[in-house]
Amino acid sequence: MIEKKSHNSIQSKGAIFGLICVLIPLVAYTFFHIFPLIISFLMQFFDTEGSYEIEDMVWNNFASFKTVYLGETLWKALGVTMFMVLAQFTSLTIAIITANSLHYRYKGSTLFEVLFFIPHICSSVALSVIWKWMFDIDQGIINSVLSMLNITPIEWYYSEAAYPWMIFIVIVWSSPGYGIIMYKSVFSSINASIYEAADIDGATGWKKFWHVTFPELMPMTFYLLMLGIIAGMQTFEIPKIIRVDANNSGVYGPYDCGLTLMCYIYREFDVNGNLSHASVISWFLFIITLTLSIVSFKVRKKWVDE
Amino acid sequence: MEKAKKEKKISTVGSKVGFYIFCGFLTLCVIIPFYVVLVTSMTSWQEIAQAGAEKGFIWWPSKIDFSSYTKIFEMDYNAVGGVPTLLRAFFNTIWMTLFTVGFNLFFSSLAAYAYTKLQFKGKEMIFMIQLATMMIPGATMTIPSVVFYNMLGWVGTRLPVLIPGMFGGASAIFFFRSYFQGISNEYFEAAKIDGLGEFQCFLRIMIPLSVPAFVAQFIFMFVNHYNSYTNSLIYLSYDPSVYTLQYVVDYLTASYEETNAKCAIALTALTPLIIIYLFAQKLFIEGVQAGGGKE
Repeated sequence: MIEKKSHNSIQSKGAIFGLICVLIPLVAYTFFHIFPLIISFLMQFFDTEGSYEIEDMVWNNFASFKTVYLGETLWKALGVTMFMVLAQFTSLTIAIITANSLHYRYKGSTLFEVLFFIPHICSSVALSVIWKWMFDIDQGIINSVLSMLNITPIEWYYSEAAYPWMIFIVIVWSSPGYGIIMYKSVFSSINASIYEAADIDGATGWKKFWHVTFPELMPMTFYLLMLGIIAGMQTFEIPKIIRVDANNSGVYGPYDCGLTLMCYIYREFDVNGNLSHASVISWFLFIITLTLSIVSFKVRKKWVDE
Repeated sequence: MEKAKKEKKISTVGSKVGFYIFCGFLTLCVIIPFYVVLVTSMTSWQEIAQAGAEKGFIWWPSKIDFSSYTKIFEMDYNAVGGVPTLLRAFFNTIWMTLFTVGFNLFFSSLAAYAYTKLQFKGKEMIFMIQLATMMIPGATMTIPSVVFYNMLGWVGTRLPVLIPGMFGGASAIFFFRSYFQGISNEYFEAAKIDGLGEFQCFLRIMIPLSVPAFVAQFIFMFVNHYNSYTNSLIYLSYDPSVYTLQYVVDYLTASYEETNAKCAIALTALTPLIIIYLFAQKLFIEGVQAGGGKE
C-alpha cells in the first residue's frame, strides 16, 4: 500500500515535469507569435502616424483597408509575387530532372550532388550582391556575353519587362539544391522491382519516368510544391537587395515591377512609417499563405494515412 | 537477343553522354557567380573603372590585386572599439546564433523527450496544438511585430532577435520526437531503478544517445541563423556595434562604390559556411534533410 502511494507520487511528479517541458515551447509561441498576430490585426483599424506607441493610435474608420485594397499597388504586388512563385516551380522542375539523372549513379554523381547543393547554403544577401554585379548593364558578365554573341545587351535595371526576370533568375539559381536532396532520397527508396516489371512490359526512358517514377514522386512533389509556393509568396531578400535605391525612396524597379508583397509591407514600414497599412497587407498575405498551408497539411495527412 | 543487347548498350552510352552534358551545364551555372565574384574581387578598382562599358566584364585582371580585401578590413567610420565593422558583425552573428540555437536545441529536445518518454494527462491534445502551430505562417507578421516588441520595450535592443527563437520550435520537436521514438525505453527504466530523476535521464542518457540528431538539427539551424537578414534589418540597424553579418553585407556593399570591394565583402561572407560545408557535406545534407523535411 505504502509502496504504491510512493510510486504514484513519483508518477505525478514526473507528470508535472513532463507538462512543463511540453508547455515551454507552446507558451513561448503564444507570447511571441499569437500576441503580435492579434495586435497587428487590431492595428489595421488604427492610424499610427509614424509612431509605434499604443497611446498615439487613432481609429481610422477603415481608411487603411480602403487605401490598400482599392489601390493598384497591392494587386500589382500580388502579380509580381505570383511570378516569383513560378520561379519556385521552375526550380522544382530542375530539381526533379537533376535528381533523376543523379540517381543513375554515373561516375562523378556524388561530386555533382555536393556542388549543386552549395547555392542552398549561401545567404541570399551575398548572392544578390553578386548577381547585381552580374546584371550590371555596362560591365556585367551577362551583357558582356550577350554582346560577344552579337545580341543587344539587355537593360536589366531600366526595362520593365526584364527587371522581374532578374529576380526570377536568382531564385531559380539558388533554390533547386534542397529539392535535389529531397528527391534523391525518394528515388533511392523506390523499389527496384517496379522498374524491372516496367522493363519486362517494354517501357523505356521517358515512358518509364512518366508512368513508374512520377506517381511515386507525387507526395514529395506536392510537399515541395507547397513549400515552394509558401516560400515564393514571402519572397523578400532578393528583390530587396538587388534593387538600386540611391536615396532610400523605396523604389523596386521601374514602375515597382519588382515589388513583392513582402517588399510592399517593408516599404510601408520603412519609408512611410505606416504600420497600419503594413498590417493590412501582412494580413492579406497571412490569409493566403495560411490557406495554402492548411490545404497542404490536409493533403499530406491523407497521403500519410494511406 | 544480340541486337537487343547492342541497342541497350548504345542507349546507355547515349544517356551517359546526356548525363554529362546536363550536369556539366548545371556545374557551369553554379560556378559562374563564384568565378565572377572571385575575379572581380582580385581586380583593381582602377582597372574596372577604366574598362567601362566598351570592354565590359573583365574576365581576368591584368594584374592580380588584393587591395579590395585590405580595404574592407580597414577601419571605416562605423568601426567600434578598433574592430572593423565586417569582423565585428561576424562575431556578433556567431555568438547570437550559438545562443539562440543552443537554447532552442535544449528546449526542443526536452519537449520531445517528454512527448516520447513521459506519461502525463493531455499529452495527445497538447501535441496536436503544437502540430497546428506549424501551419501558421509567422514570417508574414515579421514587420507588424514591431509594435508588439515596442510595447515590451525591446526595440533598440538585441532581444527581438535573440529571445523569440530560443524556446524551441515545432519542426525541431517533431524531428527529435521521431528520433527519440527509436531509442528503447529500457535504458530509462534501468536508470530509474538506479534512482535517476526524469531530468537526469534526459541529460545523462537521452542526449548522449542522440548526438547525431543534435548535430543534424544544429547544422540546419546554424545555416538559417548565419544567413538570416530580415530581423537584423528591422531591429539591429540602429547601432554599428550590434550589426549582424548579413546586414553588414547589405549595408557595406550599398555604401561602397568600388565593385571589387563589394565582391570581396560578398565572398568573405560566403566563404566560412562553404568551407565548413565542403568538409562536412554529408552532415549538412543530412541536417537540411532532417530539419526542412519536418517543417
